[in-house]
Amino acid sequence: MTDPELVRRMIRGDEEAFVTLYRRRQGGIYRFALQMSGSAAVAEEITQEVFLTLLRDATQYDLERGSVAAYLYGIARNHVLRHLERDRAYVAMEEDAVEALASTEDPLADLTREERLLALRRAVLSLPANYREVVVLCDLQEVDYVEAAAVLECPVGTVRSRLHRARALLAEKLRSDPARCAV
Amino acid sequence: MMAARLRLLAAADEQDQAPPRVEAALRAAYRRQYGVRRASWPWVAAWGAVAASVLALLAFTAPARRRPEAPRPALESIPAPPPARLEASPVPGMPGPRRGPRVKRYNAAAPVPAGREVATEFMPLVYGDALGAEETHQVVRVRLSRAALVSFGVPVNEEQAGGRVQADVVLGGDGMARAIRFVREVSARE
Repeated sequence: MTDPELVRRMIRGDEEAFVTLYRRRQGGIYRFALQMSGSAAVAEEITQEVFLTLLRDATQYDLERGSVAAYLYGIARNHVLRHLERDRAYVAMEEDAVEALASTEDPLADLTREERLLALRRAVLSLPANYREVVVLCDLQEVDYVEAAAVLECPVGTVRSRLHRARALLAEKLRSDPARCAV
Repeated sequence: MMAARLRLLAAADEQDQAPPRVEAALRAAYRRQYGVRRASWPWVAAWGAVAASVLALLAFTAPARRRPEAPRPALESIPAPPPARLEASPVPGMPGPRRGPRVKRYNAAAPVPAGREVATEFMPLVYGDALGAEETHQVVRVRLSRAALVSFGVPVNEEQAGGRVQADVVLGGDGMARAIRFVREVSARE
């Protein structure tokens, strides 16, 4: 069943349609918020806010304006930007978020790999928000450029140019920390 | 080069998702928001059940309508029966009788004394769960417009289209209708 059909059913009172849509889309929304904020608690709060907004405003959702995923990412983005605005002085990686990434198969190899991933993650978090969001959407969430343009409310060309610039900034940041540059 | 590194990061984060408590909270929010709308569906179903049930009621009252000597009193003029005169009729999927209104079961073979009520069996409504043994419920008497039943495709005598039929609806503790029966007072001439 497609996302728009799930939204229609949801509006008609079908709780399972809402849950199906949530389970399908929550992972991407949660990761977007986590990669943008660096905080699992913030990501959880934003994920909940996104779907509460959907519950409240679903009847106003216009299929012609874009996909349901883009609509949800758009809501998430607004919440993330508000959060970043409030907490612009400090962006931290939570320890539990880092630990959650480690596997136990080869602790030594994992440690090296995780250190490198952590360096990259920190580099992403240190990007200005307008570059960070395009990297998170296009490179980490693999949202296509057209949909990313809809989420970010800008032309596709702007998405491409921001992404190009964001990757260059990341490379610079990682070069300044040679011990962590080889992921 | 950088895109490849970012793909590794994306793969590392692939399994991250919101904790289950978020889904639980959203389910609760959904029920709060759409609970009223959901409750409206059973009433639609109830009307459907009413429509089907009225067919039985029409057959049940047909002999009285054919009497030429006197018009049958309108159902809306029937006074509510005192509880003491009533007797419970079984409802499939429901617990046994409790304190509350009871209506004597209609028995076509035996004449019913004048001034008494006759009722159809309780008919379970097709949606929802049966009442649990410990679940509270109440019986509410309602009057339904015959004209409203036309919209469900139920044939209604034009002369009586402005009238009403009387019914008892069993409501569960959640306010949902679970069963319905139709009630009619028997006049002295019947």
